[in-house]
Amino acid sequence: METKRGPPHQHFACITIAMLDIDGFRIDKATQITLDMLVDWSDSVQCARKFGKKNIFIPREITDGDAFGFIYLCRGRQPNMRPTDVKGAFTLTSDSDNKYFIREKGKNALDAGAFHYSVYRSLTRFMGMDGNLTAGFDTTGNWVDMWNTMAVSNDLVNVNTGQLDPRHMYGVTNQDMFCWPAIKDGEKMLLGLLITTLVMPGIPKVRLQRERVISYG
Amino acid sequence: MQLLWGEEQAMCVFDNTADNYIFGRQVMSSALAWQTHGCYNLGSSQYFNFPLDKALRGRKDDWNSLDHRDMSNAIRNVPKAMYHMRLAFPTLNDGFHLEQLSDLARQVFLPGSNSTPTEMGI
Repeated sequence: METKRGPPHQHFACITIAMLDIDGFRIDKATQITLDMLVDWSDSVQCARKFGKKNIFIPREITDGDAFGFIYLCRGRQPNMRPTDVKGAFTLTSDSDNKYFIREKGKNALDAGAFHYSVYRSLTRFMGMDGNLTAGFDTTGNWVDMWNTMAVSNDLVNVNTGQLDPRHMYGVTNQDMFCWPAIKDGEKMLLGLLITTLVMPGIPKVRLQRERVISYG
Repeated sequence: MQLLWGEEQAMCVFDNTADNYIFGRQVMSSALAWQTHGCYNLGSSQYFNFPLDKALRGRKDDWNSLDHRDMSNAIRNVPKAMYHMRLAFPTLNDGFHLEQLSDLARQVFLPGSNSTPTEMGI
């Protein structure tokens, strides 16, 4: 059912913001959602401005390798649309040439990785886990290599401000991954946290999971 | 950086039921069931020689059924200190130029990794 104001699911986002005063949505299984639909939905979330929320945040779950995730990120970028180097990437704004973006200005799918799986997978190896740990077409190399790859392959321009604004969220575990203190020498989790908090450019975040109703400070 | 609930309390009980999808979603509040069912014995088909330790013996640790909103937990203090560093040094919070100054790492090959190297060191 479509109305003049768009499909009903777009209203639900605005109703949720109005009623619950939320500042963002984390999209579960985001890369299993059809891209066009997601873009239209993200666009509709701009109704948040009516409630004074000028920088609403839509991070997402991307479990695939970097090379698939980046079409979902902000306006999307294909391999043939990359700036030549990191310096060039850091000068991009929403007014930059369209050749760097799949979608037109303002057509944002998702803002950032809600838990950066490529970095997590690399962390597990760095912290001694053994096995087949990578996804197809993943970022490779050390932390610096990974960041410098992402900086070029990802569109990191904030749709709300028009400025470069890397907001990937990094972590050493989540609700779908094992907890480090459960295994031998699990204290090395702190080494991982050092990497995710102080080395990788992105967002610090404390998360309260929706799966459990718990509140703590 | 992202912190899962309980991560700052060093929680260690698993509740998954498949050996290729391992997770722990232990509650923050006091709950006896998490201790009663606290001994994990499914192993892992995801990681080679998965070095299980405390997860094997959760039932024997009374800590698992207690309330976990412990502001004084030693693990919690470390992320708190790092968050403070991010506030005190804008570069840590907002910087996005990351450059490698030196590389003292070496590569080792673990037995289950099918010749994919693991980087060790700084």
